[in-house]
Amino acid sequence: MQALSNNPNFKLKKNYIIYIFSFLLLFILFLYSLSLGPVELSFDKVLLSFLQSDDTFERRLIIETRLARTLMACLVGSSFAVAGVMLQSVTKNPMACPSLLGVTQGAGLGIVIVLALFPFCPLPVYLGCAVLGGILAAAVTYFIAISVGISPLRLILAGQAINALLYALTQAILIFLPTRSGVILINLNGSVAGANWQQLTYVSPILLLLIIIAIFNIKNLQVLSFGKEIASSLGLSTEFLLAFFLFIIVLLCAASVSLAGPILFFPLIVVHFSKFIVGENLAKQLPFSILSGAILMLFSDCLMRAIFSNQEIPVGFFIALVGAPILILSSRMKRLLNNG
Amino acid sequence: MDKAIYKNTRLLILFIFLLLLSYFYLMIGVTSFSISDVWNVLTKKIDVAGADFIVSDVRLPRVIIGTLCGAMFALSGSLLQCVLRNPMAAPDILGVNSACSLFILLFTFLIPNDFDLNNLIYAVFGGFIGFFVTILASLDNKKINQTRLIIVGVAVGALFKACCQFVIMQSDERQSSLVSFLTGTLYHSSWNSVQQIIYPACFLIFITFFFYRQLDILQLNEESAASIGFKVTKWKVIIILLALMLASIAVSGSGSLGFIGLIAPNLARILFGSSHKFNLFGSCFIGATLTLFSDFIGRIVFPPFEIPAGIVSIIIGAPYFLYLMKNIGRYK
Repeated sequence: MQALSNNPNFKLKKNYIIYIFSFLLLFILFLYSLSLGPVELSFDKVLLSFLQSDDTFERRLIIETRLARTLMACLVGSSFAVAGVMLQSVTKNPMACPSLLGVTQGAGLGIVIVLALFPFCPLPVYLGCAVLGGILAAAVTYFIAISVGISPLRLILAGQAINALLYALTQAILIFLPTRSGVILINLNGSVAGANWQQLTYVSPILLLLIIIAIFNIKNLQVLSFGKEIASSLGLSTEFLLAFFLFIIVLLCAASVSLAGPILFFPLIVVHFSKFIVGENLAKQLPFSILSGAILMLFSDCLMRAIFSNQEIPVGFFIALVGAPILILSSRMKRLLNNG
Repeated sequence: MDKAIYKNTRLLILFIFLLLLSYFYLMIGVTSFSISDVWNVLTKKIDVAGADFIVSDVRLPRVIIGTLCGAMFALSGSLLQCVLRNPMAAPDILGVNSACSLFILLFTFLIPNDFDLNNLIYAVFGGFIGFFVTILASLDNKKINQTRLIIVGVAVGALFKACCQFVIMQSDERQSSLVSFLTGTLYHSSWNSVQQIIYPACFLIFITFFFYRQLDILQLNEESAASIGFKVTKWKVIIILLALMLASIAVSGSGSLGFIGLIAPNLARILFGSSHKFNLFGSCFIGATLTLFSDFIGRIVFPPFEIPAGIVSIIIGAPYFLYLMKNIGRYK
């Protein structure tokens, strides 16, 4: 087996199979997600409604509500996943996850504040406040982590305290939000239920652009993880790279949160899942995490919809259920046992 | 001897402060009353219009529940911090509180019963489960890594909290009130709930003060404790059980109040030193004061809206948690 896996052709073949399998899975989940719901539709009906152009009830149902929801799940899943992979590579911490360092909750708080002040604000303002909240929370966590010493475990602890604080502030503001507060409450657990095309068309180009930027920067991410000397010998400044990547991570998270609310633990799950499948190499991990993030988010949402067909269970609930054990396992990793 | 006098004075000051705070609590709110009005209501001298109901049926139970639950969380935190030798250990941080909440919610949801003793049994059961899950998950070669213990506790807490939210979503009635139960609130306090927890609470608080010698010995290293013929493991188990019972009953009274069990023991250690003779009393009073204060602030900041006490206590407590992390050199 060892000899086999050293053979470059074998590796290529293995990756090839993984990707084909993933795309197939994503396609099936996509169709399944479109057919799921109070009105049961078969796969062939779903496919037909894309091919036909006549205005039937089924077609409108699929295009206007289910397609938006499905695309949003994929997009949010991918964005969170990319943010998670980047953050773990930047911090070299197997427990790091934007939602554990306050970024996700910070974006959520920004959104809640803007909704409390201007209930019907335009989308750019809404998005801007999410980004601002995320950046502020990340900055606070970063400075606190510097002052308590950045060991992997302590960074997460500091992040958790910030998270608790942001959560409390969010809850306190929600008390004054009589209008649409139910929607927000669902949204605060993280849910892809409230998908609408208007938001999607506005935010998706931003997210896609950020993901593409991340892919083009894989080499720089690797350079950053090699350390200062190598980076400066290549004429790159580590400080600038670090700031740039953190900014991209916060943007990815904030834009995702503005779509689906703060979904905790998700990036952590995807990162460990993709490490498990394709190994630690960043050049493989990042592209694969885009796919696996979409698959996992769509799968979670479909699962919740399939099990609880009569009510809307936020996907964030299921993800927290899976994510907490993963956090515990990642805190027990060999790398941390010696220098916790 | 002199030190004892200082500590006694501090305790007395704390106690007087707690009494004054309680009195203020009874006076001030959306409708405020004068000092004499409250006094007349409490002593049942004259029937003041409106004050009777608001003071004695709404605010007084809240004061009693707040005091008892705050004291119990604080004592539970003191015991856990001593046994686990970790100044950041506390029932809410180790996932005990959210596990209690889950079991209380589950059983009130599955077996609809009015608040009675059953509820306490479920809560204690839940607390035990939460604690043991946390301890088992953070064991590493039969030793507990202190920093990992806290992270695992937080993760276990998040897990049970997600389950709680799920249970709440399944129930249609009193949804909003159940949500506030998750973050800890005194809003639902009534004479009914006072009756439910006052006897076990007073009994447990009373019992805890008798263990100060054992706690002092447990603070030593294990070899010295064993060398004077002290059964370390036996007492550890007893004290952990006591701590879990305290926390569970407090949760059934007020929901999961965050950070009270973390801050109060630490402040008590600063004020009264690490000997548990005074420290336990101090922790108890500080916990009660913090809880009442949180609820008081939550009630008067934006009337008529109420911010749950648990939210206020997190906003006060989280910065302190960070400060604690910064100052504890032991966790490198």
